[in-house]
Amino acid sequence: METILQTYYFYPNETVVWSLMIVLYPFISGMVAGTFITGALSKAFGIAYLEPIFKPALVASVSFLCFATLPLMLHLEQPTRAAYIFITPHLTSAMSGFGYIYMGFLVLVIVMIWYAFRPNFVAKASSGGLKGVFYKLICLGVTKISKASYEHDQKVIKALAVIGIPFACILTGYVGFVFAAVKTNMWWSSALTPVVFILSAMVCGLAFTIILYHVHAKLTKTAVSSDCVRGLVRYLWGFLLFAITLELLELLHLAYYETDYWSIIREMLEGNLAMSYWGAQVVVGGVIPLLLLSYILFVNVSERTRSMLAYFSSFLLILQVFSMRWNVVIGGQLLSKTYLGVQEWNLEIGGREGLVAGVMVVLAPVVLLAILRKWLLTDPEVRPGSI
Amino acid sequence: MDAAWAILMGLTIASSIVTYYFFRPVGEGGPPKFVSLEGKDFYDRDASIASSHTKRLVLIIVVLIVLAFAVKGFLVPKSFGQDGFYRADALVESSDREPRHMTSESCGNGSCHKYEIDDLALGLHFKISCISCHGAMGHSRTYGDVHAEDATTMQNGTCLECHQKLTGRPANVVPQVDMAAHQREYAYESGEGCIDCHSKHNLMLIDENAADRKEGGQ
Amino acid sequence: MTELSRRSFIVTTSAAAMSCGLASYALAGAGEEHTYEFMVDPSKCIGCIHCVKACILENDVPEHNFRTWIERYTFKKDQTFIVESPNGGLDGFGEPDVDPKDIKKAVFIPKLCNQCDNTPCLQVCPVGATYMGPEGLIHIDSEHCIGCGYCIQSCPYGARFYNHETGAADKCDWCYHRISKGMVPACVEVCPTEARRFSIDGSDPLIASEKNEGNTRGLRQSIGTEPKLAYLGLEEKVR
Ligand code: HEC
Ligand code: HEC
Ligand code: HEC
Repeated sequence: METILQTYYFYPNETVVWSLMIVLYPFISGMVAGTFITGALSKAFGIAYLEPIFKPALVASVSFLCFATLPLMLHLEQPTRAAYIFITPHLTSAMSGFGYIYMGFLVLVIVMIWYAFRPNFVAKASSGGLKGVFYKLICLGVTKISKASYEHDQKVIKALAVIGIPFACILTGYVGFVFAAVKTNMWWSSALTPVVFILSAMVCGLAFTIILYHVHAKLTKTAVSSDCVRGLVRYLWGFLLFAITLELLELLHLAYYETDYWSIIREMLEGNLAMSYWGAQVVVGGVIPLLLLSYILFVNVSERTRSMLAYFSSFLLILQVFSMRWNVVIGGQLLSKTYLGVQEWNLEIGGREGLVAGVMVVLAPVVLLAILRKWLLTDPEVRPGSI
Repeated sequence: MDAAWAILMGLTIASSIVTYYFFRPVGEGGPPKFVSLEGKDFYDRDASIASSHTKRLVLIIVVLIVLAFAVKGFLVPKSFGQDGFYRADALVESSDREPRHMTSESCGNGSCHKYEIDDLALGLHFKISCISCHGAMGHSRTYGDVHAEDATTMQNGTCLECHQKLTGRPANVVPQVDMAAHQREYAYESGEGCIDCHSKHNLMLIDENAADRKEGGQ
Repeated sequence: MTELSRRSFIVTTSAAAMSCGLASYALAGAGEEHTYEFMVDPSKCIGCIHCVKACILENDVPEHNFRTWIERYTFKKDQTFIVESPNGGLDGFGEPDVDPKDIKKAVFIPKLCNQCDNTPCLQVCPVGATYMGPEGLIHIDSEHCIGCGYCIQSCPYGARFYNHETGAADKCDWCYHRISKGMVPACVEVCPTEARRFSIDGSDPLIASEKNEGNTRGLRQSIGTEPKLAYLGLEEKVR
């Protein structure tokens, strides 16, 4: 096998067509699915120690969900025609289903939130004035709660959680499939791609939930439940291990086959992508958090240290997932379709798909989350006292 | 590369700083508080209304879905799906565009350029279409002013696009010259253009002595 | 190819032998179905780039994008090769960066849309803006395209690009506005050496005979796209 590329060539039309926005799209939809599944675990499987993060995770999920299509709209050359994806969905395309899956999941999460917070809404509906009217509307006019209705709600929530977990997997696995379905791009077209997407969605969902939980606890001046943190860390460790293993396995597979594709992949991993792959995705975002998490899981540490290290590695893990998305999306396009070259590409700063717009797209759901947190999560929970 | 390294380190350091400051004071307070339903005026001891809100919600969702599909039906573009999964009109639209490059026959239409056509046919260029050398002629079928200009501003470059000696250019398909060598060989001044010796369409040598110059030069 | 000729057998009944002149312009209208065949003979291509220029003029192709372009493959004696296409060929090829003594063979390869029968671009379009017309050609409905770029990603030949002027994906459609009027594509019209040949309903019998003799093949056949564009005597390494 040639180690040095004999010639450096890509087709004159080749550019990085999918840039930062399409990096953010799987990142954000992974966040949606990850936080949702994290929250739903306690309801679907009755895991009591995860109960405290049910509502925060759900609210986080919906805030990301509201902006999951924003990067797509910014990317589309014709955003005004985006509705065609609903109106004339071409079913052989891996992309056409996204509209419906997304809408379905949005409805599911909103309905779940509605059930989860209904007692609070009902409590506020009894106040007078405009506020009362607003909450009466939200409650759909049903302004009384009974013990039976509360139990009914819990049952519905459980059912939604059970449906929602596979749904969330479909949502993010599907995004992976959009890439996996590009036949001629070896970097993408692997059956593992959707699986890796689901696993890393779980990683960033759990990591984000850990951060959110700590911040929320601090802002409301309550203590975090140490069982809950330990539980989250345990899940995080497991999913991270799987995610890294599969990511490296995929690479190993490509390397072992030594097709003519591998020579340019190697070229890319040693060049343009070296930092974001080896540096961010593997070492700083992968190995270091894995070691930290292993330390707090398998060595007896104080509660404070555990929280602190879990919190710190969560940041690194979000970085890991972001760089993984980056490496998949951008990396796949740097590789030439001719198998003969690797493109140079630099992120633009301004513009519709530039860095500034990208930062806004990431901040938008966080801002929404801050607002929703204030609105939904700061009120004490209303529930029958005997439960 | 350096930028990526800087960003990576920056993000790592930033998150450790955030962690450090965040964890300086420990969170205090007990387990999350809750408010009991019992005794509130919205608490309904009567269990009969267990799921009326769900019914309303389902109704609303169903109505919305039906509405959405009804609207969807209206929004499908006209002629979509007539002949397949596409807008049938699009095919007509794309075939409606006006051609810009015309055929050599059309140059002779109305015997406008009959002479040039016949002239061209005399030489080895007979297979070459007029527009290959003359461009798209004002870009349209309606001959504009560009037409006349284009035809007479031909430079040596046009000939050399095809005749310059070049790696990969098959010698059995097109005779090639190296500009400098050709100039040396036939001893012409640099001001002279190709068509000063090679007659523009029939390629006949204009300069009868040109071929002899070669010998003279040697 | 067999698929295409079968279709032509059933559908095409018009016996008019189409010459490529204006006379047939009036004869052939849109709506009738024809068989179109395109054959590229790289051994005849002299790399004059007239086709690229004509295509840009004919189809308003934006700068730095190409519906058709020319590549030069320089095969060296040590089995390696060099590929070049400076700005699609527009910037001029010049001499390759090799010692002329090392060159075994060099050849220009015209590239354009391969009009695959089993095309990935059509499969991935989420809205039906890319479609296969009744004649088997792949078209783009630039009024319906949402500009997601999925088809651009999936085309293994790099034939597609964003046309930022129309705000849609764009690619070569073998000059459908010309061939549906009985003319040949602009690139074929200007080609001085018949390196590009086009046939409407068998008007160029050479294409069919070369195909039948098995002298032609499609680009990158191993990936199963079944291109309709036929290359005569194509080097194995060309991609
Ligand atoms: C190989 C290139 C080539 C082709 C093919 C060609 N021409 Fe020309 N033509 C020229 C050149 C060179 C000139 C001279 C331009 C100048 O004087 O600067 C010219 C000049 C002309 C002129 C200007 C009149 C004149 O005598 O100066 C006309 C009209 C013309 N061509 C018509 C045609 C037509 C019609 C065809 C197709 C049958 C054709 N040409 C094909 C190269 C070509
Ligand atoms: C579009 C490409 C093209 C352009 C432009 C072009 N030629 Fe040619 N020319 C050819 C081809 C192809 C042949 C060989 C035809 C053949 O052998 O069948 C040829 C042949 C010739 C020959 C014949 C040589 C011989 O053996 O008799 C001469 C002389 C010539 N060209 C001169 C010119 C001049 C002068 C110009 C500029 C006005 C010009 N050509 C422009 C393509 C071109
Ligand atoms: C001073 C006159 C003169 C000028 C100017 C000139 N040539 Fe020639 N060229 C000749 C002569 C003489 C021949 C030999 C013709 C013959 O042998 O029949 C020739 C031959 C050729 C041939 C055929 C070569 C072969 O191997 O068959 C080509 C092609 C050609 N010239 C192209 C050009 C081009 C292109 C230019 C402009 C850059 C040009 N010539 C300018 C005089 C000239």
